[in-house]
Amino acid sequence: MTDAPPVMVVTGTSRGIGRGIAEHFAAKGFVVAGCSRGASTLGELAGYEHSSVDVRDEKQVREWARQVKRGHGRIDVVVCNVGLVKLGALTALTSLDMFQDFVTSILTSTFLVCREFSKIMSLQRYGRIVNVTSIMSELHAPGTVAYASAKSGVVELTKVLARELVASGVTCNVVSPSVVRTESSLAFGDEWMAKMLAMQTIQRPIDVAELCNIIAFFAAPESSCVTGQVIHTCLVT
Amino acid sequence: MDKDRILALLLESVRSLRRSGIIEVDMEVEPDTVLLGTGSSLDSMGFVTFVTDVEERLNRETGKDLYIVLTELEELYPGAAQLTASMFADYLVQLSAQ
Repeated sequence: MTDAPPVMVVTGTSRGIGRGIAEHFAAKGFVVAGCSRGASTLGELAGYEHSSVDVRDEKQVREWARQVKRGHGRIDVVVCNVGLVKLGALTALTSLDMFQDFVTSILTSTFLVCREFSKIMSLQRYGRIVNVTSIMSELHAPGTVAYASAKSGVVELTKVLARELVASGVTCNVVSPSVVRTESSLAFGDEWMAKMLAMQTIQRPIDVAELCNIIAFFAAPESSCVTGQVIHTCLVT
Repeated sequence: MDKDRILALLLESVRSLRRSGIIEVDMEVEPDTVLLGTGSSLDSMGFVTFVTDVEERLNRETGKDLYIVLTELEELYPGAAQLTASMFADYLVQLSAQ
Protein backbone atom coordinates (compact mmCIF):
# COMPACT_ATOMS: atom_id res chain seq x y z
CA MET A 1 0.00 0.00 0.00
CA THR A 2 1.14 3.54 -0.67
CA ASP A 3 0.10 6.94 0.65
CA ALA A 4 -1.94 7.51 -2.50
CA PRO A 5 -5.70 7.17 -2.06
CA PRO A 6 -6.84 3.58 -2.50
CA VAL A 7 -8.42 2.76 -5.84
CA MET A 8 -11.76 1.00 -5.77
CA VAL A 9 -13.50 -0.40 -8.83
CA VAL A 10 -17.29 -0.63 -8.61
CA THR A 11 -19.61 -2.07 -11.23
CA GLY A 12 -23.17 -0.93 -11.78
CA THR A 13 -22.91 2.59 -10.40
CA SER A 14 -25.76 4.18 -12.31
CA ARG A 15 -28.30 3.51 -9.59
CA GLY A 16 -29.25 1.59 -6.50
CA ILE A 17 -26.64 -0.18 -4.39
CA GLY A 18 -23.76 0.46 -6.80
CA ARG A 19 -24.41 4.16 -6.89
CA GLY A 20 -24.57 4.27 -3.11
CA ILE A 21 -21.30 2.35 -2.79
CA ALA A 22 -19.57 4.75 -5.18
CA GLU A 23 -20.84 7.80 -3.29
CA HIS A 24 -19.92 6.34 0.09
CA PHE A 25 -16.35 5.38 -0.73
CA ALA A 26 -15.62 8.49 -2.79
CA ALA A 27 -16.62 10.48 0.28
CA LYS A 28 -14.24 8.34 2.36
CA GLY A 29 -11.30 9.37 0.18
CA PHE A 30 -11.14 6.46 -2.23
CA VAL A 31 -10.65 6.98 -5.93
CA VAL A 32 -13.69 5.17 -7.28
CA ALA A 33 -13.58 3.89 -10.85
CA GLY A 34 -17.16 3.04 -11.59
CA CYS A 35 -19.03 1.80 -14.59
CA SER A 36 -22.43 1.25 -16.03
CA ARG A 37 -23.69 0.68 -19.52
CA GLY A 38 -24.66 4.30 -19.91
CA ALA A 39 -23.33 7.66 -18.89
CA SER A 40 -22.62 8.59 -15.30
CA THR A 41 -25.53 9.54 -13.10
CA LEU A 42 -23.21 10.85 -10.39
CA GLY A 43 -22.45 14.23 -11.92
CA GLU A 44 -19.18 15.80 -10.84
CA LEU A 45 -18.72 13.69 -7.73
CA ALA A 46 -15.21 14.27 -6.36
CA GLY A 47 -13.08 11.15 -6.44
CA TYR A 48 -15.34 9.40 -8.89
CA GLU A 49 -14.54 8.59 -12.50
CA HIS A 50 -16.95 6.86 -14.80
CA SER A 51 -16.59 4.52 -17.74
CA SER A 52 -19.38 3.28 -19.95
CA VAL A 53 -18.84 -0.47 -19.90
CA ASP A 54 -21.12 -3.40 -20.52
CA VAL A 55 -19.64 -5.86 -18.04
CA ARG A 56 -21.26 -8.75 -19.89
CA ASP A 57 -18.87 -8.07 -22.76
CA GLU A 58 -15.49 -9.76 -22.47
CA LYS A 59 -13.62 -7.28 -24.64
CA GLN A 60 -15.06 -4.23 -22.91
CA VAL A 61 -14.16 -5.57 -19.47
CA ARG A 62 -10.62 -6.38 -20.59
CA GLU A 63 -10.14 -2.89 -21.98
CA TRP A 64 -11.65 -1.26 -18.91
CA ALA A 65 -9.35 -3.16 -16.54
CA ARG A 66 -6.32 -2.03 -18.49
CA GLN A 67 -7.60 1.55 -18.62
CA VAL A 68 -8.05 1.70 -14.84
CA LYS A 69 -4.64 0.13 -14.25
CA ARG A 70 -2.96 2.59 -16.60
CA GLY A 71 -4.76 5.52 -15.07
CA HIS A 72 -3.91 4.75 -11.46
CA GLY A 73 -1.05 2.27 -11.50
CA ARG A 74 -2.80 -0.05 -9.10
CA ILE A 75 -6.19 -1.38 -8.07
CA ASP A 76 -6.85 -2.01 -4.40
CA VAL A 77 -10.49 -3.05 -4.24
CA VAL A 78 -13.01 -4.44 -6.71
CA VAL A 79 -16.69 -4.47 -5.82
CA CYS A 80 -18.79 -6.49 -8.24
CA ASN A 81 -22.25 -5.25 -7.66
CA VAL A 82 -23.86 -5.17 -11.06
CA GLY A 83 -27.00 -7.19 -11.40
CA LEU A 84 -30.34 -7.31 -13.00
CA VAL A 85 -33.09 -5.90 -10.90
CA LYS A 86 -36.46 -7.03 -12.08
CA LEU A 87 -39.14 -9.32 -10.83
CA GLY A 88 -38.80 -12.95 -11.78
CA ALA A 89 -41.44 -15.58 -12.28
CA LEU A 90 -42.20 -19.08 -11.11
CA THR A 91 -39.86 -21.61 -12.68
CA ALA A 92 -42.57 -22.97 -14.96
CA LEU A 93 -43.18 -19.47 -16.26
CA THR A 94 -39.54 -18.48 -16.67
CA SER A 95 -38.41 -18.33 -20.26
CA LEU A 96 -34.97 -19.48 -21.27
CA ASP A 97 -34.20 -15.93 -22.37
CA MET A 98 -35.11 -14.54 -18.97
CA PHE A 99 -33.05 -17.18 -17.15
CA GLN A 100 -30.03 -16.55 -19.34
CA ASP A 101 -30.45 -12.82 -18.96
CA PHE A 102 -30.12 -13.09 -15.17
CA VAL A 103 -27.17 -15.49 -15.37
CA THR A 104 -25.31 -13.33 -17.89
CA SER A 105 -25.98 -10.08 -16.08
CA ILE A 106 -25.09 -11.38 -12.62
CA LEU A 107 -22.79 -14.40 -12.86
CA THR A 108 -21.02 -13.97 -16.20
CA SER A 109 -20.33 -10.30 -15.56
CA THR A 110 -18.87 -11.09 -12.14
CA PHE A 111 -16.68 -13.79 -13.69
CA LEU A 112 -15.34 -11.42 -16.35
CA VAL A 113 -14.64 -8.58 -13.93
CA CYS A 114 -13.02 -10.86 -11.36
CA ARG A 115 -10.93 -12.58 -14.02
CA GLU A 116 -9.49 -9.41 -15.49
CA PHE A 117 -8.94 -7.43 -12.30
CA SER A 118 -7.62 -10.40 -10.31
CA LYS A 119 -4.78 -10.80 -12.81
CA ILE A 120 -3.70 -7.24 -12.06
CA MET A 121 -4.06 -7.81 -8.32
CA SER A 122 -2.01 -11.02 -8.49
CA LEU A 123 0.81 -9.19 -10.16
CA GLN A 124 0.76 -6.38 -7.58
CA ARG A 125 0.50 -8.97 -4.77
CA TYR A 126 -2.39 -7.20 -3.15
CA GLY A 127 -6.10 -6.87 -3.63
CA ARG A 128 -9.54 -7.05 -2.12
CA ILE A 129 -12.41 -8.46 -4.13
CA VAL A 130 -15.87 -8.02 -2.65
CA ASN A 131 -18.79 -9.48 -4.53
CA VAL A 132 -22.33 -8.43 -3.74
CA THR A 133 -24.95 -11.16 -3.73
CA SER A 134 -28.30 -11.21 -2.01
CA ILE A 135 -30.11 -12.81 0.86
CA MET A 136 -32.45 -14.03 -1.88
CA SER A 137 -30.06 -16.91 -2.37
CA GLU A 138 -30.96 -18.06 1.16
CA LEU A 139 -34.68 -17.41 1.03
CA HIS A 140 -35.48 -19.87 -1.76
CA ALA A 141 -38.48 -17.72 -2.51
CA PRO A 142 -40.82 -18.72 -5.31
CA GLY A 143 -40.17 -16.61 -8.38
CA THR A 144 -36.44 -16.22 -7.84
CA VAL A 145 -35.15 -19.24 -9.73
CA ALA A 146 -33.01 -17.20 -12.10
CA TYR A 147 -31.94 -14.42 -9.73
CA ALA A 148 -31.17 -16.61 -6.72
CA SER A 149 -29.38 -19.24 -8.80
CA ALA A 150 -27.16 -16.62 -10.38
CA LYS A 151 -26.41 -15.00 -7.02
CA SER A 152 -25.59 -18.41 -5.49
CA GLY A 153 -23.22 -18.93 -8.39
CA VAL A 154 -21.43 -15.73 -7.43
CA VAL A 155 -20.86 -17.12 -3.92
CA GLU A 156 -19.24 -20.26 -5.30
CA LEU A 157 -17.20 -18.28 -7.83
CA THR A 158 -15.89 -16.10 -5.02
CA LYS A 159 -14.88 -19.05 -2.85
CA VAL A 160 -13.02 -20.74 -5.70
CA LEU A 161 -11.26 -17.48 -6.49
CA ALA A 162 -10.38 -17.05 -2.82
CA ARG A 163 -8.51 -20.36 -2.87
CA GLU A 164 -6.78 -19.56 -6.15
CA LEU A 165 -5.58 -16.14 -5.05
CA VAL A 166 -4.76 -16.69 -1.41
CA ALA A 167 -1.02 -16.97 -2.02
CA SER A 168 -1.09 -13.74 -4.06
CA GLY A 169 -2.23 -11.53 -1.21
CA VAL A 170 -5.68 -11.13 -2.73
CA THR A 171 -8.78 -11.80 -0.64
CA CYS A 172 -12.22 -12.55 -2.06
CA ASN A 173 -15.38 -12.22 -0.02
CA VAL A 174 -19.11 -11.79 -0.36
CA VAL A 175 -21.61 -9.42 1.16
CA SER A 176 -25.14 -10.69 1.08
CA PRO A 177 -27.57 -7.93 1.92
CA SER A 178 -31.14 -8.33 2.98
CA VAL A 179 -33.58 -6.03 1.22
CA VAL A 180 -31.86 -2.71 0.63
CA ARG A 181 -33.74 0.55 0.39
CA THR A 182 -33.22 1.54 -3.26
CA GLU A 183 -35.46 3.00 -5.90
CA SER A 184 -35.71 -0.47 -7.47
CA SER A 185 -36.73 -2.32 -4.34
CA LEU A 186 -39.25 0.38 -3.49
CA ALA A 187 -40.64 0.17 -7.02
CA PHE A 188 -41.58 -3.47 -6.50
CA GLY A 189 -44.35 -2.29 -4.23
CA ASP A 190 -45.53 -2.69 -0.66
CA GLU A 191 -46.82 -6.23 -1.06
CA TRP A 192 -43.49 -7.53 -2.38
CA MET A 193 -41.60 -5.63 0.29
CA ALA A 194 -43.78 -7.02 3.11
CA LYS A 195 -43.38 -10.57 1.82
CA MET A 196 -39.60 -10.28 1.63
CA LEU A 197 -39.20 -8.61 5.00
CA ALA A 198 -41.36 -11.26 6.66
CA MET A 199 -38.69 -13.82 5.80
CA GLN A 200 -35.86 -11.82 7.37
CA THR A 201 -34.86 -11.38 11.00
CA ILE A 202 -34.22 -7.68 10.43
CA GLN A 203 -37.63 -6.71 9.19
CA ARG A 204 -36.81 -3.38 7.62
CA PRO A 205 -35.05 -2.44 4.43
CA ILE A 206 -31.44 -1.59 5.22
CA ASP A 207 -29.62 1.47 3.89
CA VAL A 208 -26.71 1.26 1.47
CA ALA A 209 -24.48 2.89 4.12
CA GLU A 210 -25.05 -0.11 6.37
CA LEU A 211 -23.94 -2.40 3.57
CA CYS A 212 -20.88 -0.23 2.94
CA ASN A 213 -19.82 -0.84 6.53
CA ILE A 214 -19.39 -4.54 5.69
CA ILE A 215 -17.67 -3.78 2.39
CA ALA A 216 -15.25 -1.49 4.23
CA PHE A 217 -14.40 -4.35 6.59
CA PHE A 218 -13.59 -6.72 3.73
CA ALA A 219 -11.78 -3.97 1.81
CA ALA A 220 -9.51 -2.96 4.68
CA PRO A 221 -5.80 -3.82 4.42
CA GLU A 222 -6.11 -5.19 7.96
CA SER A 223 -8.55 -7.86 6.73
CA SER A 224 -5.84 -9.89 5.06
CA CYS A 225 -6.78 -12.97 7.10
CA VAL A 226 -10.39 -12.98 5.89
CA THR A 227 -11.10 -14.69 2.61
CA GLY A 228 -13.78 -16.88 1.09
CA GLN A 229 -16.33 -15.60 3.58
CA VAL A 230 -19.94 -14.56 3.22
CA ILE A 231 -21.59 -12.01 5.48
CA HIS A 232 -25.36 -11.95 5.40
CA THR A 233 -26.82 -8.88 7.01
CA CYS A 234 -29.33 -11.02 8.90
CA LEU A 235 -30.78 -14.47 9.24
CA VAL A 236 -33.73 -15.74 7.33
CA THR A 237 -36.72 -16.82 9.35
CA MET B 1 9.48 -7.79 -32.48
CA ASP B 2 11.63 -10.75 -33.46
CA LYS B 3 11.68 -14.05 -31.67
CA ASP B 4 15.07 -13.56 -30.03
CA ARG B 5 13.95 -10.29 -28.47
CA ILE B 6 10.76 -11.91 -27.24
CA LEU B 7 12.65 -14.80 -25.68
CA ALA B 8 14.84 -12.23 -23.94
CA LEU B 9 11.70 -10.44 -22.75
CA LEU B 10 10.37 -13.70 -21.31
CA LEU B 11 13.60 -14.15 -19.38
CA GLU B 12 13.48 -10.56 -18.13
CA SER B 13 9.95 -11.19 -16.88
CA VAL B 14 10.88 -14.38 -15.03
CA ARG B 15 13.86 -12.70 -13.39
CA SER B 16 11.83 -9.66 -12.40
CA LEU B 17 9.04 -11.77 -10.90
CA ARG B 18 11.62 -13.88 -9.10
CA ARG B 19 13.37 -10.79 -7.68
CA SER B 20 10.12 -9.39 -6.35
CA GLY B 21 9.17 -12.71 -4.82
CA ILE B 22 6.09 -13.15 -6.97
CA ILE B 23 7.32 -16.48 -8.28
CA GLU B 24 9.64 -18.69 -6.34
CA VAL B 25 11.22 -20.72 -9.12
CA ASP B 26 14.56 -19.76 -10.55
CA MET B 27 14.45 -20.83 -14.18
CA GLU B 28 16.28 -20.00 -17.34
CA VAL B 29 14.21 -19.35 -20.44
CA GLU B 30 15.51 -21.35 -23.37
CA PRO B 31 13.42 -22.10 -26.45
CA ASP B 32 12.58 -25.58 -25.17
CA THR B 33 11.79 -24.47 -21.61
CA VAL B 34 8.33 -25.73 -20.70
CA LEU B 35 6.16 -22.88 -19.43
CA LEU B 36 2.89 -24.76 -19.04
CA GLY B 37 2.20 -28.47 -18.74
CA THR B 38 4.24 -31.40 -17.52
CA GLY B 39 7.78 -30.35 -16.76
CA SER B 40 7.03 -26.69 -16.14
CA SER B 41 8.57 -25.06 -13.08
CA LEU B 42 5.65 -22.65 -12.90
CA ASP B 43 2.44 -23.58 -11.17
CA SER B 44 -0.87 -22.44 -12.68
CA MET B 45 -1.02 -19.15 -10.78
CA GLY B 46 2.64 -18.53 -11.50
CA PHE B 47 1.94 -18.98 -15.20
CA VAL B 48 -1.02 -16.58 -15.11
CA THR B 49 1.08 -13.96 -13.31
CA PHE B 50 3.93 -14.50 -15.75
CA VAL B 51 1.63 -14.02 -18.76
CA THR B 52 0.15 -10.85 -17.24
CA ASP B 53 3.62 -9.44 -16.69
CA VAL B 54 4.75 -10.40 -20.20
CA GLU B 55 1.68 -8.68 -21.64
CA GLU B 56 2.59 -5.46 -19.81
CA ARG B 57 6.17 -5.64 -21.03
CA LEU B 58 5.09 -6.35 -24.58
CA ASN B 59 2.81 -3.33 -24.59
CA ARG B 60 5.48 -1.07 -23.13
CA GLU B 61 8.03 -2.20 -25.66
CA THR B 62 5.80 -2.09 -28.75
CA GLY B 63 3.75 0.94 -27.71
CA LYS B 64 0.70 -1.02 -28.81
CA ASP B 65 -2.40 -2.15 -26.98
CA LEU B 66 -2.07 -5.92 -27.21
CA TYR B 67 -3.89 -8.66 -25.32
CA ILE B 68 -2.55 -12.15 -24.76
CA VAL B 69 -5.56 -14.39 -25.14
CA LEU B 70 -4.89 -17.89 -23.85
CA THR B 71 -7.63 -19.41 -25.99
CA GLU B 72 -5.74 -18.17 -29.06
CA LEU B 73 -2.75 -20.19 -27.87
CA GLU B 74 -4.95 -23.26 -27.62
CA GLU B 75 -6.16 -22.66 -31.15
CA LEU B 76 -2.61 -22.20 -32.38
CA TYR B 77 -1.42 -25.43 -30.79
CA PRO B 78 -4.48 -27.69 -30.59
CA GLY B 79 -4.01 -30.70 -28.35
CA ALA B 80 -0.50 -29.69 -27.28
CA ALA B 81 0.35 -31.12 -23.86
CA GLN B 82 2.96 -28.48 -23.19
CA LEU B 83 3.63 -24.87 -24.02
CA THR B 84 7.31 -24.16 -24.51
CA ALA B 85 8.98 -20.77 -24.53
CA SER B 86 9.53 -21.16 -28.27
CA MET B 87 5.83 -21.82 -28.92
CA PHE B 88 4.83 -18.89 -26.72
CA ALA B 89 7.37 -16.64 -28.41
CA ASP B 90 6.05 -17.56 -31.87
CA TYR B 91 2.58 -16.53 -30.74
CA LEU B 92 3.91 -13.27 -29.34
CA VAL B 93 5.77 -12.52 -32.58
CA GLN B 94 2.46 -12.84 -34.41
CA LEU B 95 0.66 -10.78 -31.79
CA SER B 96 3.22 -7.98 -31.80
CA ALA B 97 2.98 -7.75 -35.58
CA GLN B 98 -0.72 -6.88 -35.41
